[in-house]
Amino acid sequence: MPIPGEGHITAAFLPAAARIEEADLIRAAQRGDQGAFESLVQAHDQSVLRLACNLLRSEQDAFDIYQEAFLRVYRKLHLFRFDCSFRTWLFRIVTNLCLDHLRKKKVRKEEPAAIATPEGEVDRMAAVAQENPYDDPQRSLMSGQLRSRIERALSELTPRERMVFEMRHYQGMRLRAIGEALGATEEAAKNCLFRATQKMRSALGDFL
Amino acid sequence: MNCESARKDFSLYLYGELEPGQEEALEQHLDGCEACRRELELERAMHRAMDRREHQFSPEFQAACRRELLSRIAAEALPRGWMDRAKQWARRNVYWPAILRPAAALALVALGFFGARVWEAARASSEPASWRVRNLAPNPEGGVQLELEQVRQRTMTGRVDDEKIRQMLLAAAADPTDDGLRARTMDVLKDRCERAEVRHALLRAFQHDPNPRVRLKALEGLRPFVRDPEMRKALSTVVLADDNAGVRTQAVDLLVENMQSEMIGTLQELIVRESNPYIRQKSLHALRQMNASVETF
Repeated sequence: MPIPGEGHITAAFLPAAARIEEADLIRAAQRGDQGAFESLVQAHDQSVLRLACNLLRSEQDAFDIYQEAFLRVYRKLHLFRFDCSFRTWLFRIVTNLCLDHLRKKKVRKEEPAAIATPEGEVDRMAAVAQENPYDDPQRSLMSGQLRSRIERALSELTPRERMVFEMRHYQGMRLRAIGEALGATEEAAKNCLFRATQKMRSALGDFL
Repeated sequence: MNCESARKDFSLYLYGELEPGQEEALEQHLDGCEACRRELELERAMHRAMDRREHQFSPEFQAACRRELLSRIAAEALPRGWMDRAKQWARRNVYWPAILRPAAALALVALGFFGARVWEAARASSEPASWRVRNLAPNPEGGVQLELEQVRQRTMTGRVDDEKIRQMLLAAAADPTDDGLRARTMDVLKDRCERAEVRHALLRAFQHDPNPRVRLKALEGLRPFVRDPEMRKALSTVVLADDNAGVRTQAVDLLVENMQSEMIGTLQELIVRESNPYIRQKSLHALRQMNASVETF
């Protein structure tokens, strides 16, 4: 669990030298340097995949979002004018794609995140992840019931609340950057996070 | 601080998002409140549960994503012909009334067909000019007579106010194949906006040119016409729809410097949509100065 004031290291916390280096990479990529573009992808694609996987609970969907997001970055990079950090700009693209996807999913009422197994309801992603040799062994200890309760609670959040929660909790993004990525104020992101954690708390109450 | 306000701050506290003063006040309250300490522990437990939920993907999956992306980018990066670029530009920037769309498509196809013939002919030849066979007829000696159409480069010099030069410049201002040429053309035309045809060309470029540098140059020329209704309409469109924050910033500055009540709705909408803090701040300030509401209803 993050300690107050700490979180995952994000581009926003990178030392000034690293940010200058990234600015050089962006300028080189804007001039058509393919290698520089690939370096930018490599610096950020793990965060993009993590966000998309956590949000969409499907590796196939996360794969599609990854492709679409970085293709958009490739096509629009010449329009990037350093008005915000590259990460914020990239996340604006990713969050828009994910929000669209979540909204469509809601309309289509796709497969639920939890699936029925002889041991009870299990999260769809967890069922896949159990065969994954890179999986953290701690994860297998987590109660399937708690997991499916968490998934259900998350699915009750609005797409926007969910997005703010994922970006703050798993990406370690500051609320100000989340607001920028979503085209909202820091205050709006704060309220969204508060609503999301309140809903999660009341959904998980007796498990905690 | 009471228990209710303390509990409201728990999630921000755990995420390190409280201001130092708020954090200190909360910790002081926690020191003296057992019930809130228990509540905070529950909140921590939820964070721990959520931490363990995070999906871990394999390095192979990440590598597969990268491979696919690179192959898609390689396909996009293949050199495209000028016709493709022209078609793309026309699709993005020219509004064709529905009834004219089939005709416009046909015109583009025809342009492509004949253009390609000219181009191919020019490439096949070692002559500097491009040409195409326009007509042919057998001649009595058993040979053939060709009627050729040639395109030659030439230099033309004259004043910008000369009708012929101006028409050439207006055509260059809309040339979809060369961003640099359009930007240089804007530089030349921007001092001639008193002429309606030039002003219209710049208004079109300001709203629809794919290159932000060209749009900014067009805006420079249009500044003196900020009270013109067409210009105000264009400013309103650009501040809300341009994808470049630099262009939006310049446009909003001009709009606000010459604020009129009919632009209030645009600024209210801008506050809702805009992500750039400078532009939002500028709009808020202008609305407050006009005693207008900062919200839309």
